[in-house]
Amino acid sequence: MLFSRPDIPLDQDSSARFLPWLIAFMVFLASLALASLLVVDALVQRWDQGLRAELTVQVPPPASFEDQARFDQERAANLEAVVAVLARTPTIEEAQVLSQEAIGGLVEPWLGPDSDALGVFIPSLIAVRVDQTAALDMGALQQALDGAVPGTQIDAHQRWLGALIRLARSVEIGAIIVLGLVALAAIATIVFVTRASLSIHRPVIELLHLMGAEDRYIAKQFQAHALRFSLRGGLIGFIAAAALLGFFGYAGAQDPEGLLPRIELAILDWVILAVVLVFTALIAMLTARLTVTRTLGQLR
Amino acid sequence: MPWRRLTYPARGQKAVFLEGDAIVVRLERVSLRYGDGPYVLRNLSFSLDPGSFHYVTGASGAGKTSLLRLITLAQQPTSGRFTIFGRDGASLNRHERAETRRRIGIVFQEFRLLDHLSVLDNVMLPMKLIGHTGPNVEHHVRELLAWVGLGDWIDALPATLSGGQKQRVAIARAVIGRPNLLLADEPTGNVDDQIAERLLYLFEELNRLGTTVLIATHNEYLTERFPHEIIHLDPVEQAPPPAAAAQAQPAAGSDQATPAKAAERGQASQKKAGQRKHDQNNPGGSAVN
Repeated sequence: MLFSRPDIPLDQDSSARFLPWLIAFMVFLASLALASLLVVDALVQRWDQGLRAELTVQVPPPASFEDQARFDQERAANLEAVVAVLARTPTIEEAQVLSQEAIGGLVEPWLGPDSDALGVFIPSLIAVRVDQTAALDMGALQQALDGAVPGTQIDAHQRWLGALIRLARSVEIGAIIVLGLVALAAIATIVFVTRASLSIHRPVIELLHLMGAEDRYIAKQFQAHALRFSLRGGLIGFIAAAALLGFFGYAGAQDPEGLLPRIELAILDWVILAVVLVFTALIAMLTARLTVTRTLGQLR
Repeated sequence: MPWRRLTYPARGQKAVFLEGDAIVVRLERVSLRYGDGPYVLRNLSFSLDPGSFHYVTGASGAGKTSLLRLITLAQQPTSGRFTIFGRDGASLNRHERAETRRRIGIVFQEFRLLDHLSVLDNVMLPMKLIGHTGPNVEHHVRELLAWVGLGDWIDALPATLSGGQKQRVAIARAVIGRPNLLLADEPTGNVDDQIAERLLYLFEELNRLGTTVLIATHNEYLTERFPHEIIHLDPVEQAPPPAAAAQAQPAAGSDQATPAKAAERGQASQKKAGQRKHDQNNPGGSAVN
């Protein structure tokens, strides 16, 4: 029934010509908004995940330096105590003590090859890998570490990214708002156009009523029409959006410095974008149906 | 009669499925006016038995079309009681009204075909509305169209047809679903007498199969050639007369039929089928059955 020849010549309306393009534009906008949402979300996930798995524990150097041997001994003891605490903590998978040479290498650009000689005592570092599936009680760990060596710090890298992630989240919220507005605009347009069609085709509808057509029989023709034009328009919008996203992806891949965030959509993301198209068509169909049944229901 | 060979798709199997043989249409002292305008119908009473065949006659402006609009539930009476298939017309909700209308075939005076649909699709429409489609139904539609002489015009658009051809399409559309009640407004107005006769055969055949028929016409040739009961409407007299005056001085132009006319028709009808008259403004005497 859905695609049978309609009794109401909706295809001859002027709206049948422009509406698919309007829908195309809306699906295009919605697809881009959704794509940016997906790209930013993937980016945040990647940052988040990589950094949540790692912690750095800083063990302060011994407070006094009298002679090198004693200092080294004390530092080693402190490290050992901290590593013992970390080893006791069940959610910690691995704790790797960075050698002083490696740490010295990290600060060499600023402090030169021998920082100890400058009287600057840099803390020892322990790279910790955390089991992501379990929650790590940071408070308890901090307390335990303080008990072992006072002044030991846990550096959760996430902190540094907080601002960046907040920015990304606001981009996401913006994208969601755009999606919502586009959906509202599409619905309003279809309500308006459907009402106009109803009054254009009033004589035919009156005749159908006189012949015993139920409102839902008439609504079915409007909804089939809405489904057709929104699928047609939606497909155009989807293809345009896909072409643009493909171009962004290509441009990103050409950038050797990696300055641009990579715009890459997984297969699943493309499926989600295609859902926009289907969803738009369904909204158009449902809106047309409700508009017709409500408008006709108000007639005597 | 070729009509016999027309096998209709089952639509509740039979045309006759009246609940407890209810009167098909009953009007009791029905009056109708549009807004504050003049009365179009006044104190009209009559009833149509299942399987009956009536003509509605009367000069143009006597309210024939309005009467048909009333019966198709397109119009509510201003006063009086109107029942269709045993149910009060005013009590029907939207869905019941649609359901009732699907049991009525209508031939509109102005045809009201759908211009963008072919002749075939126009005639198929009532079948679509009752959910009967498919090649089998299409076959019946083609057969019926051939019978009304439109076999070569099946795929034509209404705009390319003559008035008479359009009229036959409208009639085919009204009868295809074998309705319980057939209403026709001047169904022979645009065709020559030969085709008019053929169409009347069609109506009579449908009537024999159980459809109640009501035809508005002023073709006297046909009403004599195919005699059936006549409901005669005279234009409603606009100055509201006291009921007694109207009784005492019936005249042409009042809402009551003239005795002369009544006698004339009465005699004409006695020759063949015992026609009876139903006059407006005379509720007591006019109700049939």
